[in-house]
Amino acid sequence: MNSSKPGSACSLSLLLAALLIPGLHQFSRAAEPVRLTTDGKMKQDLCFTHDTQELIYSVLKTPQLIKLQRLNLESGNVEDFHTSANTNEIYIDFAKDMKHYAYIRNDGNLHTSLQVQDVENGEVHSLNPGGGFACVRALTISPDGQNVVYSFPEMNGSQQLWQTDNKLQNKTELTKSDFIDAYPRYSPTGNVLTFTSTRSGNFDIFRMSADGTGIFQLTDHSGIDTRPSFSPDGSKIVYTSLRQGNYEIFIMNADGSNQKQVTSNSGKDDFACWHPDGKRIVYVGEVKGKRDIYSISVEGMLD
Amino acid sequence: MLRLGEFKSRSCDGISRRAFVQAGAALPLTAMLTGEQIAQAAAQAQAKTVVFVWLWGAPSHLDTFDPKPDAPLNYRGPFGTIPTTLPGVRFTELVPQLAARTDKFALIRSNITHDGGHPGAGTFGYTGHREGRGITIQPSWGSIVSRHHGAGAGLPPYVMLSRGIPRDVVKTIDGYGGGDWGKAYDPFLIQCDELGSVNIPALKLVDGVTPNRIAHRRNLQDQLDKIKRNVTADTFDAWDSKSKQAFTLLTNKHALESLDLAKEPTELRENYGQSSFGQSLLLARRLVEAEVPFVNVSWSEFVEAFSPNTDFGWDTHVKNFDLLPNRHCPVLDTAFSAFLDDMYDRGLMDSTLVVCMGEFGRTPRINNRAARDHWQHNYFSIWAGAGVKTGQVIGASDAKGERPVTRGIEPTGVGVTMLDCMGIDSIARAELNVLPEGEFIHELF
Repeated sequence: MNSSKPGSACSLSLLLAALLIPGLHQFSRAAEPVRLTTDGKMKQDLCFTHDTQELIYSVLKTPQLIKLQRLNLESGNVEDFHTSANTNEIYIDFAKDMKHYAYIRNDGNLHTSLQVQDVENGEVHSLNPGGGFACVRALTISPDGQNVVYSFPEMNGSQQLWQTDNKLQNKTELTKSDFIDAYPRYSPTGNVLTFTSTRSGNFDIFRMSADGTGIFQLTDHSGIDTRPSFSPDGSKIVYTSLRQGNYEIFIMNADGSNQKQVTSNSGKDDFACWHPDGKRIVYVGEVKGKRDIYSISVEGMLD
Repeated sequence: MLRLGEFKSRSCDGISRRAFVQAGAALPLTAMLTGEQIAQAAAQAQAKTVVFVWLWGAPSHLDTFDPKPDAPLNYRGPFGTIPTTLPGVRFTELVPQLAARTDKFALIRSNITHDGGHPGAGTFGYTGHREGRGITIQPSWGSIVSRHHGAGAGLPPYVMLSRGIPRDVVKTIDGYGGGDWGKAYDPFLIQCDELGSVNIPALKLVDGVTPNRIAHRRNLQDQLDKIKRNVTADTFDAWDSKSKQAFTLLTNKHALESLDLAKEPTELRENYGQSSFGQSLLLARRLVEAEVPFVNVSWSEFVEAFSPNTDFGWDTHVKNFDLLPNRHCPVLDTAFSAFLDDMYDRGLMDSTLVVCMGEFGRTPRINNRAARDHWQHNYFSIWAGAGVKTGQVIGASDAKGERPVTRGIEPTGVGVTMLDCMGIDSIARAELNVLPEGEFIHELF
């Protein structure tokens, strides 16, 4: 499958300008981050619910257990999402109407399955990827809750994106390549997917139509670009990049142009998603050895 | 300078005539060493303590310290490479802090072992010998040091900082401890959590005593008072060696203080990162200061990278390209860099040998789960301190990272080098009837 190269001259020139002109850092217009948690535990896979002020994420709760937790941004209350879960659960995503959500469950030795919860009738559908060491990787659920796209390895050492319905019955391979495709995320309309891929030789960010056609490369750096996520209006994408030697949060237009650095922290900034208001980014930042959730306004960067 | 293959080769003092003859027989005639060279190497290889950092589960060498950017994509993987402080030497982008500190350690890229399974390779890595039914279980490096040096001031001579004895979901490794010497030479297990709280499982063996959290001083004192009230000479004698060690430790103020990370500056604790591995390395540094002769820091109890009820080891048969950038490498990079900085800043490296390695590497060719499997034919180890010549890469692997193109460094060589540095030379080893084979890694000194 062919992919188009980005027109990245604009982003490259901005990057060079930031490096060459003192004080003109692209992240200078991002506000100071606000710390939302304080326990310092390892967290990842941030995801907002669509109708509330709740942020769901996975956290290393004990040395042997990663749990999904919910953080109420108004009250600051933190509680387990699945209170009775006794095995690792990661990577959750919600349909816009909140009637379905999907996540990954570690249900065996080096084995994970895809779970889709129908909130209204309480049904749970599980996709077991096979026996032995087999892992469903990252996933995303369409805004209408009807489809789930997930990444899964192939026999040739590649990893492809698959689509299935919310009953996990009809599977379609969206990408067919020799590369590793990962971390898919639907756009707010559900028409477009963004994802990470090694098609360029290392992890860069791509987009394509939700049916798997029209693959287009959005970033092109020798450092890792990964974990893209659309803004609520679909015009921007937030992602993690190691292009400057450290994990930092960046944003760009949904066509790959206007790439801007949001965070600048000596620790690891990663696992970003957009706040539903579209004006803030929420991410996991490592500060003084602690991994907490931070919110940072990007309102001044959204030109 | 003598050269053996591509190596600068020197031996060390203390080598027995028999062993020296064996070594000489294995070398080209031109590699025979003068007495002066032997003495020089011996003077450089002196340690009071070994810190053996065990990356249990086996990290991928290609995705960390031996990248192959020119190999096909289905070998080299998705990670970019970055320069280090050594000209021409590159690591992957996942370990930038260690890439900036290559002047502080030596890297071996030609380790090999002889078992492709975790327990077997683990026992090789701890003892230099194979494990299996009917095979004598040899004592581990730490147990040999323990027997040779004896106990210090209230602290056991062989401390393992880990959630548990290294194991996979099936079994513990045979070679973690005293083996056929008996449990008296097993490691003294201390658990250190992400906040630096210390727990001593041996106390569970004492009736009526729950595990103590050293950081909680009042609780600890209450526990100690309770123990003292209940312990008589008869009950003490009835305890096993580990319970006795635990009791002795907890009633020794100096030893106890060595386990109290609350005494460290907050900023320093933060530098190590809020992880069990990071705080365990900080605790290891305190144990070095307390002159514990052998400290083993294990990344995890279980090898499994992502399995229920395990603690996220390096065994990335699945999710290798997720876990390494998301969790494992950042934790290793931060914690081990802080440890090296701290040890050098305190002047501890002259008398401490630091060795960091796993039990093997991982398949250079990406597997059918978009990850990497076991690979015993080539992996890496990191060495520092005790006269190790830092800022060098020793050995090399082939273009795909599949096999060394230079002499393979075997677990017996790792063990002999550690023990020699601790003054347990071939004569002492012969007296202990351990490790009759193994080639000192001359290139390190």
